[in-house]
Amino acid sequence: MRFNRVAGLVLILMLMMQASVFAHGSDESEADIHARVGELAYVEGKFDQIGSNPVAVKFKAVRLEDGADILSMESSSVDGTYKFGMQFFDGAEHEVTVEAVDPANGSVIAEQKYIVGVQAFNPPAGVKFKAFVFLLAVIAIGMTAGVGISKLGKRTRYAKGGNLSVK
Amino acid sequence: MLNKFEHQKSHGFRKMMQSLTFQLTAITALAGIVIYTALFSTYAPVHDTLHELRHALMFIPCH
Repeated sequence: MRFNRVAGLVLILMLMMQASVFAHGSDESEADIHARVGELAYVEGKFDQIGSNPVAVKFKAVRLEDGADILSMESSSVDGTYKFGMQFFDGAEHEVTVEAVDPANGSVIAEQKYIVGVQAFNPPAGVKFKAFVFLLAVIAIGMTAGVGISKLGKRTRYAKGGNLSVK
Repeated sequence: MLNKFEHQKSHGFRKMMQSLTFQLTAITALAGIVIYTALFSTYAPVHDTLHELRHALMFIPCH
């Protein structure tokens, strides 16, 4: 069967190309915090100059290579300490900005910036397999539903006296 | 000219290709190849071109 041979050959060729490919560098030598893709990384610290008043703490993560906003969220702190956990999904450098904001007037009291170097790596085969099977299952379920609806429609038309061979 | 056996063999294969099961399997296999190549292969030109799409989908393991 020619089709099966070609499909098998294509599959073998694709599986042979298992070298890691990264669309950009992931040099993290100058980073303040080191993280890996898909693993939780924590940014924690303390604002010393805010006194004892409770403040709102704003976290913002930006991917440095294109300035894309990755995450922005707000929390609060009573004693000026903060801890922010995040999973990065891109192996590139990110800048995390933490701002202490006065909840009364919204002015920024203090600001701290961290460079997070996220280490890129080739995703595990198990993770790739699960995502691949999910996408393929969506297509297979869609096709099965389409064929089922088509057959049901034909049967209904036939029951009403129509011609079964008419599509 | 085909003898009787070859004729039956050829006819049988054509009949099998026209069956719904075979066609659905072939389309699923083709979809699998396209999905794997576009979203999971480490072939650099494809990977770099669709890099942003991979990340935008949020559940495609990229790197």
